[in-house]
Amino acid sequence: MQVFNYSENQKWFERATRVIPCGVYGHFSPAPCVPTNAYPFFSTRADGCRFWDVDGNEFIDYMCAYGPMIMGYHNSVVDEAFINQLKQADANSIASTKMVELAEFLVDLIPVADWAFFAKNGADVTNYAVMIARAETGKKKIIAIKGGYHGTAPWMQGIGHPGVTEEDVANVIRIPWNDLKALEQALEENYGQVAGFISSPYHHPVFVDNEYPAEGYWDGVQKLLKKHGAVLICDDVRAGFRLHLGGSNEYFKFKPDLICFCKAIANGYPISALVGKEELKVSASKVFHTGSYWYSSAYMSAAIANLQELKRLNAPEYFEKLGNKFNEGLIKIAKDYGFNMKITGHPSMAYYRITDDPSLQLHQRWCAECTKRGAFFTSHHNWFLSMAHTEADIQKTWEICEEAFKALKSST
Amino acid sequence: MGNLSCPLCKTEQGNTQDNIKSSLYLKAVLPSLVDLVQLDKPAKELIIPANEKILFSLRNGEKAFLKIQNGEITYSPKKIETPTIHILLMSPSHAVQVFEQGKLPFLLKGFTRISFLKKKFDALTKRLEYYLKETQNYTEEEKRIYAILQLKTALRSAEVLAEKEEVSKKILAGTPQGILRIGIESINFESYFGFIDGKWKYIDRLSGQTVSSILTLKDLKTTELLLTNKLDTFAGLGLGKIYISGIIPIIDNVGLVLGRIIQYIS
Ligand SMILES: Cc1ncc(COP(=O)(O)O)c(C=O)c1O
Repeated sequence: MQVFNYSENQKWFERATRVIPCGVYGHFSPAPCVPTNAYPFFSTRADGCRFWDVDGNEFIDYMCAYGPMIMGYHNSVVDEAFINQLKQADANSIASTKMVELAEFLVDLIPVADWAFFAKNGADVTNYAVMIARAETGKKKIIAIKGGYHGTAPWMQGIGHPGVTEEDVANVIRIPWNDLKALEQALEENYGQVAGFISSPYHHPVFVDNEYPAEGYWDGVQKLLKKHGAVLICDDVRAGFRLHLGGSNEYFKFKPDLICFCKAIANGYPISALVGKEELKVSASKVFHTGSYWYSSAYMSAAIANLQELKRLNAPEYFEKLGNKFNEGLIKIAKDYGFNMKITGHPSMAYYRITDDPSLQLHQRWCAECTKRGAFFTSHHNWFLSMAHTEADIQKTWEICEEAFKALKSST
Repeated sequence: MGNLSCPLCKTEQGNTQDNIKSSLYLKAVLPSLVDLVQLDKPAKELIIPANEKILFSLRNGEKAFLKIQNGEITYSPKKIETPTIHILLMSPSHAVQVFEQGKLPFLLKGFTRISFLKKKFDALTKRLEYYLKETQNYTEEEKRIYAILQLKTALRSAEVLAEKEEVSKKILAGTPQGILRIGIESINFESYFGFIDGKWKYIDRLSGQTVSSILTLKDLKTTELLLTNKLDTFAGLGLGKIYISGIIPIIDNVGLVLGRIIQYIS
């Protein structure tokens, strides 16, 4: 099996560093790619579940643009909806009826939703949700989960990070996942001050195994928040529409007051949504929140088409089936080579870790070996499946995984 | 006494600031004299004939004990022998004035050794300052010494911040426990910072522990840029000037703590 060369990627990266901080910034930066020389940085083309880099290397993509790509790159139905609306109007000086249609679609699709609001990025709506909780309750503090990610606004980041002041995070209380006692304690210690609790539907942080809610956890959370008059915000930005089309809370059987959606909503077209219960609609109307591109209607058309396709194809069921099959095969291949592959989280966006080396270096080397052979795996973030991944892709990926295990064996 | 810090040092008002600063001088900068005389010939020559035991003590507070003998220096955070010279620092702010502005300390013991303090020890601290200051036109060998001294001083400083500074404490409280190896590839140098016996510490040499994260700097230039806060580390990673592996949050968070040292000494 051919091992990739990245000379053109390197040339582009050097060029990028002259004019762009980090060369490539944020979650696409070289930091999550260990070792960096095993990874491509620049792509020229993508189609289905594959992308091609500037060296012409072809990858089966298991990061799916870190979540947004859910139907496959260049999905004809979604793209057509986008293009058709683009031809009518996109940026405009007044709102499009597509906005109303998309809101209606979401209100029908999502049991908790009585209204919807649109923005561009996940953080636009996690921010908005927190502001609504504060507007609704007149309180300041927000409880969040340690290791939970909600975007890059200063309050969402940790203390000590450049650009973040102590005041920025002063009203955010971080508690461990699945810890009802800690939630109760935080609510008691900050009695009368807590506006809301924000959490993903299950715990999917980076670098550590992902965790489902314990039996009774969400029930307990809802009861405590109700007692203290605090708003429950479900950050479904990453998992949304992968576990359940009505929101991942339906999968785990709880009813948040507000749900944040983004990544998979429009198959990569930039749009995010906050949906909420009727009781919060007035507070939502009072919070001023807007953006230059939040009314672009072509993206709204893409979202409707994408969600319709996910519904038509029963995407969560497909992911569950294909994901489980992939995972079972992978665990077996790892075992054949003497390694233990631990897989946590939902099969559509599972987190993978070779447990034989707690320092993660073995896992990082294995992900690197796979990537250099055409299965794009990062080592510390959950991976993603799309509707474009097929059994044949899974088969090919297993072959790559096996080669990578062989490479590990021969180098240890 | 020579000015142990660089001219860029900021002295801010406030007890906490001075408290941390005085600890940095006593627990991170003074121990670097041990490395200095090991690495730098002119520094070693300065102390070859000397036989002194210097105790720096902060009233009701920390201590630094330097034993100078046979051209070597050993450091201890405790008084381990009877000193020949005892320097009293009345308060953290007095300590900062002594170390940063060359203000005279109180000499409790060693009046007959004033000439050693004024000449040899002063020259020695000036030599340390030469390396801990911003990069000068160093020779190749001096560049190597600069990188090692800076890196070790930074890691010792991180230990002080881990213990004393609220923000650093919070950063490290949320950091996976483990040991980070920081190395400079071109000169084959390695040093460690990690969680041992319930504390984040600078570790000179490992005694059986395993490393959980690795940060390797390709060469002296990269090290210099990193230490002077002039390196785009993400770009450095992509360009192959920095290599990381293992539990990356340890590298990220120790990096955040290292980045805070400049608020106290630079
Ligand atoms: C759970 C979760 N919330 C919020 C965000 C922030 O989304 P965005 O990067 O689009 O602002 C992300 C992004 O990865 C996420 O995974």
